Amino acid sequence: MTTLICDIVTPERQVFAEEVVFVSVPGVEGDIGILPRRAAVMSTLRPGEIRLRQTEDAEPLRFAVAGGYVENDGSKVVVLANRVANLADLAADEVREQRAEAARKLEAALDDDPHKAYLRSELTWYTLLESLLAH
Amino acid sequence: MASLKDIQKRIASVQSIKQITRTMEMVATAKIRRATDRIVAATPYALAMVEVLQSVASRSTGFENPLLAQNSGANRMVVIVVVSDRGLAGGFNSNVLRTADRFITRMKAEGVTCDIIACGRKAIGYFRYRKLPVTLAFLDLSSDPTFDEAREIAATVIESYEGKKIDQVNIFYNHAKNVAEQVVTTEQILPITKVAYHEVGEGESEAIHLDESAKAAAAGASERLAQARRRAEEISSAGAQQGGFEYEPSDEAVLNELLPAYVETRIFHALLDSAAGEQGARRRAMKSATDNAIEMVSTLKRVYNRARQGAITTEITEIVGGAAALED
Repeated sequence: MTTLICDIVTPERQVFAEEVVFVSVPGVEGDIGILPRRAAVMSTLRPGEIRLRQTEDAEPLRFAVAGGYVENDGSKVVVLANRVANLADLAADEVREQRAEAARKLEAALDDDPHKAYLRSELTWYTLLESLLAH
Repeated sequence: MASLKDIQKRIASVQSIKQITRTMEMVATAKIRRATDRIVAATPYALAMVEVLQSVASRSTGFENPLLAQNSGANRMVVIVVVSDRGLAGGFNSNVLRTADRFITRMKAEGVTCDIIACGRKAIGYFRYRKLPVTLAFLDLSSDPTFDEAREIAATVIESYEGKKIDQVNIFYNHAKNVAEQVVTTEQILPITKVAYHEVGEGESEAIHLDESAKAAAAGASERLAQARRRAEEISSAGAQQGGFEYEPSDEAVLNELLPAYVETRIFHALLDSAAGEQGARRRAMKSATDNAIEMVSTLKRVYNRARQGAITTEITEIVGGAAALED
């Protein structure tokens, strides 16, 4: 069986580097499914979900991604992600709390707070995680 | 001559200084390890970024991107100064600050104004004292830089650069050449030059050699680096011939997205490098402080013993003298 090497890296660390048989990433123009020997592609990512299958009939591994790039050359997929979380590591109620917290902080921030953009991105991120965990 | 009690007091105080500096030395040693681990962890992204960028750049020549273009005529540039929040690290901070200051003065002589972005408490104090305005400041992050910090700096400079308000962006930081040695480094962040593409990769592989125990990781990483290089070359030569990649949404759009991210990565790398250097510098400074304290204690002990001996001798002489007087 042919496999792909899949690397998921963030600026801070390498999150995943293993062989897989299938990867699906959220490209800006729609999800991209990648099988071994797919035509080389290079795309920017929108916030969404990465799915990986390590064997044909395994449950897919799910990662949330906040955006970034994907590069595939047929034998290797490199995901350069701004921010990644393994959905299996997250607890739904914790994420809900974090989202509420982020929303509250954004609410409380003054208009000219230099960290406002950061707070907004936090809220978007936790909202994404919550919606992905819901199904 | 100082009294016995005075000397004793001094010995006690030097000894407690020694204890503090030795503790700081040990803390710094532990932190070097952490800082190095962080650089190693950040390496795959930097390598992948360089790889992707090279393949895109080699394919897409002739694109206009404001970050690649050389601005001119604004007579203004941005200087990013990366130092630490805390002192007691030998010449770590002052070396960078002095280099940056000299650069700013030289630019001023040429009629170019420099905006300063200061990372680290020490830089803020330094520039405030010299009445140089700091446009953006970051505190309490020097030993633990986050990517968000790099992102914010990048966003600020990219915005000004694209608006043609500035001609150039330079970053001044300490490059941790190895555990004991830091080299003040100046890099041009904007406009992005072709040469700079390669530098990130090289810088990373050097930085990994910081820690002996990280050797295994280094071997893996440098192997990957070599692989990435080979592949990048293959891709670029193949790409030139057949244009193998399919770009979404378009190659230009991808490049436009990648370049800002590349700027972020370079800044982040400088922050990490400086953080590792800070710990190295502190460990060295504290080690020599401890050594000096040890030496000082032994000198003081000698002085103390001599004084004590002197006191005893005086006393004996007095007793003997007293006894002799009685005999007569």
